[in-house]
Amino acid sequence: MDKEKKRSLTRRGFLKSTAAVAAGISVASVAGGTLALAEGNADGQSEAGGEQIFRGVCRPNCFGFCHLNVHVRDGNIVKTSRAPYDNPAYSRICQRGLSHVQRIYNDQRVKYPMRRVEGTARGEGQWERISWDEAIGEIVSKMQEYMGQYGSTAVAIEQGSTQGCASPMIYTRLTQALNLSFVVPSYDAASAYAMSRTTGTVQGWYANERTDLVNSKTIVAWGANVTDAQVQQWHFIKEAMANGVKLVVVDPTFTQLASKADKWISTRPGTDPAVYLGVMNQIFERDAVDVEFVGQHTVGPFLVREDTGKFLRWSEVNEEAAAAKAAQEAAAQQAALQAMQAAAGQGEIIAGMAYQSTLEAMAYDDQPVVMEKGALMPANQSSAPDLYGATQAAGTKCTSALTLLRDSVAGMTPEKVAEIADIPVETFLELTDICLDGPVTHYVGYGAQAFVNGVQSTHAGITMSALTGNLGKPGASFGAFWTLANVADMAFAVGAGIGTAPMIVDVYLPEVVASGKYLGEDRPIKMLFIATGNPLNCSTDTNLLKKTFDAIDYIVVADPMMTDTTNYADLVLPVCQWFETEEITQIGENVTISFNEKAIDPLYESKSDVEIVKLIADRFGLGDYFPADASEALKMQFGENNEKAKALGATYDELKEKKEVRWEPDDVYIAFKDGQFLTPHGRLEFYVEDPQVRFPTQLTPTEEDIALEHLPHWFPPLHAWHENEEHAKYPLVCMSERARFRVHSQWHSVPALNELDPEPIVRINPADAQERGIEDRTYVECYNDLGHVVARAHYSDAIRPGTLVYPKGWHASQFKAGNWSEIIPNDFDVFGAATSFMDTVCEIRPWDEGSEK
Amino acid sequence: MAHYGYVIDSKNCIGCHACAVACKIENNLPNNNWWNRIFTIGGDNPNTPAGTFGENLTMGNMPVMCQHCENPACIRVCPVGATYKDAETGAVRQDYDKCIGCRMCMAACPFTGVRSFNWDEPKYAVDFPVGDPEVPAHQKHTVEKCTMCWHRLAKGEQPACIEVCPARIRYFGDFDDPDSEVSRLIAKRSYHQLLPEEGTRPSVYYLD
Repeated sequence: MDKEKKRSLTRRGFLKSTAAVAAGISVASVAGGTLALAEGNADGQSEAGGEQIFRGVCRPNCFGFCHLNVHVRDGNIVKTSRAPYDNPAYSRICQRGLSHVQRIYNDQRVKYPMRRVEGTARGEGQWERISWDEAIGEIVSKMQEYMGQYGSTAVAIEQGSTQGCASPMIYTRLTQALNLSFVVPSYDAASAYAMSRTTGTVQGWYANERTDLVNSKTIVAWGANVTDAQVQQWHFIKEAMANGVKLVVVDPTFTQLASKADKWISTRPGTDPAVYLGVMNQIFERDAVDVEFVGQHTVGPFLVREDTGKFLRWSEVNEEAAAAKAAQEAAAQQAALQAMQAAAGQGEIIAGMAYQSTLEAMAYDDQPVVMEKGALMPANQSSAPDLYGATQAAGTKCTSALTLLRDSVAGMTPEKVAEIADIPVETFLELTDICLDGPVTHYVGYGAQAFVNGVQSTHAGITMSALTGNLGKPGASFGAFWTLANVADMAFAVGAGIGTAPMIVDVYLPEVVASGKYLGEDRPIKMLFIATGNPLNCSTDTNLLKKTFDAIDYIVVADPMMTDTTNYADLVLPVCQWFETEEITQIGENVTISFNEKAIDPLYESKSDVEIVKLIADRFGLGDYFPADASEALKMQFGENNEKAKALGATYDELKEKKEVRWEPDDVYIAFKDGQFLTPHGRLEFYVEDPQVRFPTQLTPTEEDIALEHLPHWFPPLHAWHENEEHAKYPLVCMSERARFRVHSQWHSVPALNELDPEPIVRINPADAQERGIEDRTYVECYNDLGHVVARAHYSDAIRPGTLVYPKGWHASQFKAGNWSEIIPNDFDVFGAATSFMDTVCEIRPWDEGSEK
Repeated sequence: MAHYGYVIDSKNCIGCHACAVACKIENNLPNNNWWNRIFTIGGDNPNTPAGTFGENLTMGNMPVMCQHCENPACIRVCPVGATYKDAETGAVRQDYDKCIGCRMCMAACPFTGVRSFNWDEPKYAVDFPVGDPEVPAHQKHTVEKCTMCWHRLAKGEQPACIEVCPARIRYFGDFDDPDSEVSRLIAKRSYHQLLPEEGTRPSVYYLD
């Protein structure tokens, strides 16, 4: 139904339809709570036949955030259909979005609060129904007990990757107010971290909006299984190709996308960084550097001190600047102390923040130094800096960052890269030619960054793109595209108080729990409250994580569905589904802020996350500081005092009316437009001056690590590498694909989708299978030292010999034995501190059906 | 009078099954009942290519439903007139009340998998009717297939499988109208129809 038709509906028509809904309810004698629907949801648009239509936002975080019409009849959601976006390019729905009805009314829904039956073990699946009052009473008394005995941080809240403003944010507010520990997920964080440290972005993946693909000469898709993982995006590629844009797919596997491509290059898994470095080497060899772009928009000409690895600063070579800097710093120090004193009444934390922000605001702009025709000068005064060269200054050798990069990639010859990536030299050179013939969109998926060297992949890739000026212009871009509007008032998170406990990144959690220490300091974790996530399914090394959970006294999981994680809880809380509450999303690939209406009341005894947190806060005497429901939480974040929201026309009331607001003023979002980056100098920092870990963990970078980390560099995957010793025992690299019929672990129990895709499978090259006596469509056991998993083998010549590919998202109960996450190590890169889902190896053998689970 | 039908740009189909799921919900299809099927053109398993890794791999997809033939084989064999051609739309329709479950139509139809038979009392994933309320109830011992979403055509809408397609490769319209999108597409692009040798003259055109 289009917008015009909706507007033409009369008030009378609406009343008629709601009356029909109400009548239907009284006949069916449904509980009074549902009757409130007719009165409480006047936003829904009515249609013929007594049907109401509400706007839903599908938000599994496939990046889509598609708008759906949620059709309600007799108080039930009966259908989801495609709703219009202002830009019709984004009016979309997919097989998952179409199946919501069966996901909402599903026998795996958590219906009421449940406690693990006393005397049974976690995971046995014996539950006792309890009241909300009892559940919240138990949770709060446990929290108070642990907080009293071990300090507030003994209680941890862990979240998944659910995206919204009310739902995830309310837990942050609680965490902050009570100074609890917060466990941050690190799914696919390597790439975002690499992008952040080179381009200055804060969160997300930044590339040109996909409506810009048509402006490219070539799209190179790197490890991007668009045609399964993000089916909603395929049409952009298709339309670009219809306009003459070439598609090249670099992927170990012959995906549907590869089958549509002009060229498919199957590289050895985990070798993308080497390919990027090799292309860079060719750019230098062929003198193909974009002098203007590299000179003005990257740190290429900045001189790097050999002794410290830092950029040489103008104050270090110019006495006047040194004096000015000293004076400015003294003034800043004084002002900061005054600001701190002025804020003293607001507590230590606020006063400290006032001190710090004043120092930062008054910081002296100590320009990096470049050479121009050999003479030193501040970078911002040089219009034609020398890109290459070295000199002696400030008592040390100083070399331009571009020179360092050129020298560091000198060894990455075509022959070397061809050997690493296991492709012919000619193929590599052909790919190089394509990369150099811009504009090119490097459409990057999550494949490459799912190895321990994943940070290098993005760091090297964006550097490669910058060298030829292939960034910030129509058709020229590198990366995945998932951006944050950042319009919601972030002060909401600390609106009930500010905590001081450092966050724990999930890959570090097992060590923190086992040792009771965080970076050497005592920090026992006694209770874990998991919301909006399913780590026992989606994270790595399930057996390690279960051991971690076993060492935690009390685990609460709040979720709409029974999952691998709820199954391992002591207490489960029923959360309402997406269309049973209001929500606003401000992230994704659509450059919009979207409003999700409440279509029906929460089913069964479920409640929204906001209501759950409110119940907890009440018992801590903090009820006044917490919103009663999602609407109130959203009004606080998108209120009249939110200047950004007001300027965009995206206040709560406006969003509720309009359903979507585009936050980018341009028709097509161009990442780093005109070469403007968000780093302190506004340049792409392919040379990272001060490499910092993403989150602290048990690993500490050595001096050697730090020295290497300034520039993108090659090292092989940790496990998935043919030269490793373990290769003899476990020769198969085990890679996942984002499943066509699920998103992460969501939709796993939708009957219609289960009919199309009934059980876990693993795709294997027939040659590898036959070598092991494995017949097509028989059950196989994939195993390594960490665990095992059983799935049905599907012969497929799409699969690169020596690799396996499995679709993600099945729950443990759906396997004959084990699950995929069992055989993924929790190993990570010290800087990226992120999960490395594909950096794992295994062996595979026929499975005897009679074997024990 | 009109001759409605489909144009499918199947070379750009990615096999996502959105069309099939839209149909399933819209028509409140019973469990294990599908009116739209998407076949992989390639290897034996779904989503697998033909050929050998490293040598000329090819893979494609073929979405198939009732072809709403102009000369339908199914109508001729139905002993009770339950299968008939709707004069107004050209849709091949099925009257569940008349159907005696003999399955002659299934045998006569040259297209595999477009019809299904309710051997048992239909069972559903959700315990109330979903989709469109005007879809007739499914019955035991009757043959079913794509109805061209006649209930939507009656409201001036397109079949449920059209606009949902994420690949945007499904088109619907009147082939009798030379200005319709479908007529223009087949005038401009080369196409093929399934099993032309059967002489049923399908109303589904696959663009090459």
